[in-house]
Amino acid sequence: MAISADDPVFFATISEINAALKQKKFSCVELTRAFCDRLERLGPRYNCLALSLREQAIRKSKEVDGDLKKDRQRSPLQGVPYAAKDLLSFAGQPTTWGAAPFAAQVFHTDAAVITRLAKAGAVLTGKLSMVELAGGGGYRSAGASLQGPGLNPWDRTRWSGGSSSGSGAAVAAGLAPYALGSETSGSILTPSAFCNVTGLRPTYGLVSRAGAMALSWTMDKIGPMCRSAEDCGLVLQAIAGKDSKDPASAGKNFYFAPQFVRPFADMVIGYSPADWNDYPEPAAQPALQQALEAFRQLGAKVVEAELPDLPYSAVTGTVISAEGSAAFETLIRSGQVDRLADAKQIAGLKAGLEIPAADYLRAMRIRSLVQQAFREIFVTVDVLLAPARNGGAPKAAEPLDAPRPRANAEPRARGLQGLIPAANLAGLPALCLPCGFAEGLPVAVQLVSRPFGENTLLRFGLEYQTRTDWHRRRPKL
Amino acid sequence: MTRRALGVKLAIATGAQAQPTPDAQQLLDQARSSQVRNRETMQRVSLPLDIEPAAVFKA
Repeated sequence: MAISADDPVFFATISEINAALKQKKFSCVELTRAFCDRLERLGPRYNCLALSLREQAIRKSKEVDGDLKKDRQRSPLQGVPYAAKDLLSFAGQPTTWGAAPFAAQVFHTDAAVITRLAKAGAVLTGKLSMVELAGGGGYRSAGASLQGPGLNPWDRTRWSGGSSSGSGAAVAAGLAPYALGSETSGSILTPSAFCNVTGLRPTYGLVSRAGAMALSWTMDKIGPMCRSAEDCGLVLQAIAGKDSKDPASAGKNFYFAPQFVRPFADMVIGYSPADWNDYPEPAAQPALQQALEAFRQLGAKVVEAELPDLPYSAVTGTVISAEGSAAFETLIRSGQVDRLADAKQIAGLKAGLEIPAADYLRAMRIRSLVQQAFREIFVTVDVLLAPARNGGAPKAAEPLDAPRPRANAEPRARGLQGLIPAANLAGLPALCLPCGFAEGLPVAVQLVSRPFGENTLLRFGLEYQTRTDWHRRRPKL
Repeated sequence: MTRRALGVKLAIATGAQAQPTPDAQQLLDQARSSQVRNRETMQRVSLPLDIEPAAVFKA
């Protein structure tokens, strides 16, 4: 059966697509062709397509159809198309890392996560754009990408977020049921929040990074960006697990089993009123306040929490800059770095080579304090809840570091501001949940839990998404 | 081939870095200033000697 351009399958969840395949509503080849057509047709509109893998995808989909015919069930992802951030290698095809100097780079092996998804029967349809080198040198412009500025399907004058820009836009526009992204400090959460996507940043070490671009060896994580918390759980189960090829691998598997998480009545949510009353942009406040209220209704105890006064941004900046510049030392010293699109990024990468060892070590020592602080917080709290970002996506044509308005010019408390860099420093998992709109732009909350607390996050996410339908909203394309 | 052309070819071949433009130099100075600010901010944190770097980081 042919799939029409306006078929609801383009916005269906993984379980819905998998069920439709089993019911033979369409074949995997038909489904794959439909998603490839859509990705190739609409991807350039959002500058989110780095590379179509149509030929390989059709080949894989024929294999899946063969398996389904013989009733060989591989996983809930079997036959479901997906796309991946172009920081992940796919053998024999360009892996550009979003950067002009690497436009012709080809690896001969697949990234570990792509191998795992292939074994699960998933069909890779393409590679998605990203901020060049995942923005490790710091960047000022949405145009810091080989494919141009990541444009937001909710409003093409707005940025889709970074650095997993293409992953956010592709899922939001129904170009792929889900996508893989990566986060060093905010790169899954930010595009998820800006594009109305449910994104999961896994615990550091849970998902292998073998075959992925290294920006910060001690902070990089790979995770799913999906239509729902359930989809995030299904994808995480497939991609997580021990890998001797990743020295940071924690040697743990992940089984998506939110039903075994303690009941909400036994759990505690930590939040800070300042995060909801003072820091957000005024337009985003109603949606955020409504989300906070919805979480209060879940039955968990809600208590106030605050991060200790530590320089999270300075530490994150120092660690990423030092490690990123070391990772790209050859690029920088060869002068090829000057071919990057964003002048601030070029300067940041060059300057990163000059960071003294004493600064890096001080940052890593403070990082131990950050870890300790979270250990103390999670003695009494199960999850921390905060806005994912303080407002909607910024304009793509304006500098990304321009100041944004706040509900209160003089916030009364520190709250959980800095939660993204802080939790990334501590390697903690986070879930981004769409929670409404501000002037037509998506707004989202984030939940953070203790290491390997993904099922707890997903339990909260599942419940929130049974009570709300923000994650089901689609942009007018 | 002129000396200048040869120089350019050699620079490309060896990947030697060109002198930064004034704008690039300004951005480089800003990046360095940002590092100094980060250092000063981090130096305000009291770090007892028994706090070791999270060298091999595990969550």
